[in-house]
Amino acid sequence: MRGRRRGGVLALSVALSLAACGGGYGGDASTPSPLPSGSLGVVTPGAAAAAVQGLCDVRDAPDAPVANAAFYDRTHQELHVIAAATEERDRQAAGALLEAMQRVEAELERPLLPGGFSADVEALAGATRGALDSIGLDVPACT
Amino acid sequence: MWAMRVRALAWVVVVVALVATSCSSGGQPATTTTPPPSQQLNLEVASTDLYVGAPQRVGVGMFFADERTLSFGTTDLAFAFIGTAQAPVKPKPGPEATASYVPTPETPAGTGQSPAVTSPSQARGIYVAENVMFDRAGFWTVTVTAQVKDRGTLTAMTTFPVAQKPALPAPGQPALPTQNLTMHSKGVPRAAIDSRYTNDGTIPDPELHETTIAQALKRHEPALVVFSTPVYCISRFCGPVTDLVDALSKRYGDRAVFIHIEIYRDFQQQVINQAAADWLYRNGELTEPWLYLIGADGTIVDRWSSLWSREEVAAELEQLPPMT
Repeated sequence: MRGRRRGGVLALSVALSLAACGGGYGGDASTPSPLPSGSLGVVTPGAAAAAVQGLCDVRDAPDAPVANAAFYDRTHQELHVIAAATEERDRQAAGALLEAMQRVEAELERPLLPGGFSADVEALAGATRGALDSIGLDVPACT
Repeated sequence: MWAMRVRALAWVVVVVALVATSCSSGGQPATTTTPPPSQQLNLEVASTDLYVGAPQRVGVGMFFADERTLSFGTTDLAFAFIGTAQAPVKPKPGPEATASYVPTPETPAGTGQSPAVTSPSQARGIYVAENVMFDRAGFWTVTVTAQVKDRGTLTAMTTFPVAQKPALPAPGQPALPTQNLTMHSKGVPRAAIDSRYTNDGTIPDPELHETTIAQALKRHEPALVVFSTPVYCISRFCGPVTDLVDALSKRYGDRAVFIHIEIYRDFQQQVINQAAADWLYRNGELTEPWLYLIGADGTIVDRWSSLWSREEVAAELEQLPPMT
């Protein structure tokens, strides 16, 4: 008990610092805005759109193996890149994306897709678009 | 990542393109062709906190620009010292090692075949070389050579730092008597005990949150401690390493206490749990995941970063006598 009382957690709060390679915006009209980036690299509009489209296909997958392939081959790594870039600017959006992704990953570990899988993938797609919006990219939603 | 950012892995990435050159006779200039993304092999060093004078594991991950990875079998690693930022030197050959494939938990390990190019859904992992010894601090290169199925010989190189001393607790040092959060901690967000609480309001493996490191040390019990954030991991190699530790706890619960320490107290507010900070936060950076094996005498026996082999960790647990 004594150890637990003394051992209350001290929260360590440290201010963010911008990444040396963090995405920035601005400049005059003749200067192209740099693409958003984070610790895992640059987020390009094409890669972001492909990742969201991949999630659409994950949502519509008929079974777990197809969903797994679509998720890990077409969207998983880019989602991490998006999260890393989003973390630089909007931690709430980055957190929402990571939480939604972990939920889907946990469901993909099961031999059979659970009943709420499609809804969770849809939520992940929404969180992804929210993260992209926070870093200045706009991609179509799943149709 | 970092002035207070959690860096899943400290990478230095050098993209090495496989360049096809064509030469013609008659003095005409040679032309070079950039290979397509599917043939551009990237190399990343997965290990962090490498230092001089002790045998260590060095893990590397190899992937193509189209996200396919190199998996299975073994690869050859050759290290060379290239000096310091103040005093760069020509590469001086150093140790060489064979690295074995370590899969992300719950992905295929392979059956002894040679390395192959795989899609992430087929396999994903890293190659780990054991007992690599660096004899000086500074920057080193690692060149990986792999005999790849249907591809022939592929090579890639990247650069990474080696420090004079470890920044984090290391084998041979006493473990920190940390009062980490447990299921019995009061007045703390449940997600600060395990970030997966955000999934469905439950902590999936409460048995990993029963004991503090301080308690284990006081009771002279060995401990296997994983520092990880299952939800907020940002890395190419994020995987269910915490689940792997939980699985080991079910088999070796008589040999050690098993502890999971969540990295974040509050991800959105960028607040790290004190326990994680004590062990892993240095100079504005924190790398995760880490796995520590602490002996009954309170000395760190071994540690792993990024990804670890279930079999290797199990072998070390089996060497421990049953706890009384």
